[in-house]
Amino acid sequence: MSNPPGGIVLSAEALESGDAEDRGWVLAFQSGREEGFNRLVLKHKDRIFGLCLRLLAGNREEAEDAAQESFVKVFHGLGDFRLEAKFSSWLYRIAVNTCKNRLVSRPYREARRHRDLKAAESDGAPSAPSPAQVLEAKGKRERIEAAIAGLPEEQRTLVVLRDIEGRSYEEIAETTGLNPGTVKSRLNRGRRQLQEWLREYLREYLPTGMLIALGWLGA
Amino acid sequence: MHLDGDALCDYAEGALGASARAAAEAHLQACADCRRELQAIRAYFLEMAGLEPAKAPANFLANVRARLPRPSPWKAVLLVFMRPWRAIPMQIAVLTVLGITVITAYLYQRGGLEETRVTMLPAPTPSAPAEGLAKDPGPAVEAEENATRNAGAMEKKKRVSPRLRDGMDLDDSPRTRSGGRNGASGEAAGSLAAAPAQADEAEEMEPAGREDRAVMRSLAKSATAKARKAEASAPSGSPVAGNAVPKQASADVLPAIAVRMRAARDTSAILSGLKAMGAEIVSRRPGDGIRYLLQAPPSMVAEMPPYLERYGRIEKTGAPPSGDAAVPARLLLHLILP
Repeated sequence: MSNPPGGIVLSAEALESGDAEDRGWVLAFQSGREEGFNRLVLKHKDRIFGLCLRLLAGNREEAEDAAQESFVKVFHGLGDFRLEAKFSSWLYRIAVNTCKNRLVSRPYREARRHRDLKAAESDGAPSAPSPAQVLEAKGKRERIEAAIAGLPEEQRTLVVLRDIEGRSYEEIAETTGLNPGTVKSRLNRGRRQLQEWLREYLREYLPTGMLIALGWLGA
Repeated sequence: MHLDGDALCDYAEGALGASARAAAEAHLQACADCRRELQAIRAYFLEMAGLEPAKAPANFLANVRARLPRPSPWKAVLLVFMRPWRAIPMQIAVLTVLGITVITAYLYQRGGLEETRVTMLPAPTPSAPAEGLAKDPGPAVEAEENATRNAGAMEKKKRVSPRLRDGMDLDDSPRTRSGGRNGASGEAAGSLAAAPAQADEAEEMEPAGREDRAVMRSLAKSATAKARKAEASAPSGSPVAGNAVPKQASADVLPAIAVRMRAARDTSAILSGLKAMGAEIVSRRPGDGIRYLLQAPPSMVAEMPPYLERYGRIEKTGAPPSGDAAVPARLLLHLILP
């Protein structure tokens, strides 16, 4: 597995130790100690909530509900969970599918359409944010989040899982049900779209010293 | 020609192979546009990885737990009792069940699970059965008919007698006896010759009637061996061979009901077989099981069918005068019926 980009290096030991800890709590739950489930929730709640938040385009209420629903599903399935698979991969798959189901559910689509209509009335833009909208966002983080939220659902899922959560291509393929080649090509499409939207911002906001260093490294 | 976006992403991620990476680096040294593009891609990766993780709302765990179904108190009690069993791996559980099955089959084969009950019956006075026969021949026929009827009815109801006890006041099962103290030597003459030695052995155990019993034992053994040979060569249509259950049947782990049905069938076969051999039922004694006092020709003692050892118990209660074939021997058949 290649390390996720952006300077975050997940060592094999770190992944192994995290997985071993998860296994311990899973076994504790399966032997009747509900504390095991509580520990798993406490360990993964931020990541799963963040994943749901991004997949549901920044809707905090929906994201919290989806994250809770994901853990409820985990609770019901944990007794039969086989430890051949990684717990975190299984958890991500449940969360991604929960968000997917919400995105295609009728109430969510109606709310989204309502939002789009309002946006179209104001400046004619559909759900994807324009570069101007992205640049209008106040902070750095808000700008990037707005750009991610503007991606199509599948590209958004792939970008979040790979470039933010740092999952391997194999795990992403397993989570999304796509083959690894498709994951890569669609992910790159989403990346190009984001870079396009954030191009001015990225050039503008990259520190000069970093640009020089990157140029030197790349040359 | 410039590097495309996928190649630049792969290069930035370190996902290119050695040769592709070398080619990309050569191009990047020469192409300022691709270098700028690569810088933008790296900046993108840095920004994405630098996004702070979202924080789940407070009380997230409590909210999750509030959505979980509340287990009923009964389920909680059941879980407490089931918990130790859930911890047992499936392989151990399967091995345990298999082990119990094998042990049970082994005990059945040895006869350890069968009822083994040995009854020592006192020898009646020689005149008593004869008087009974002379005075009242009716009950004898009635007893036989009753026994046959009982056996048929029991078979119909599938509630039939347990196996009849091993006979001959020996402490071994028939299978053990055949290869036991006397070995498998089944010659009648040899057994008769060995009778005094066995009588000595029995003398230590039984002060009364020991000679008779010792002789009976040796006769029974020789008859058993003889009958086995006869069974092996007997046509399948023969009433005795057809109805008698071979000893190997006990080795089979049969359902209890099938064993009982077979025992009932054999009870009927025993009685008809005895009758065919010239035995006459003279009385039936109430008590634990049914006992038939029979008068049989002396030849029957030597030719005692092996299945009697298994399903019934015969004792010679009165020895005929030596060498007088006309005087019938008295045998006590003890059948244990439910």
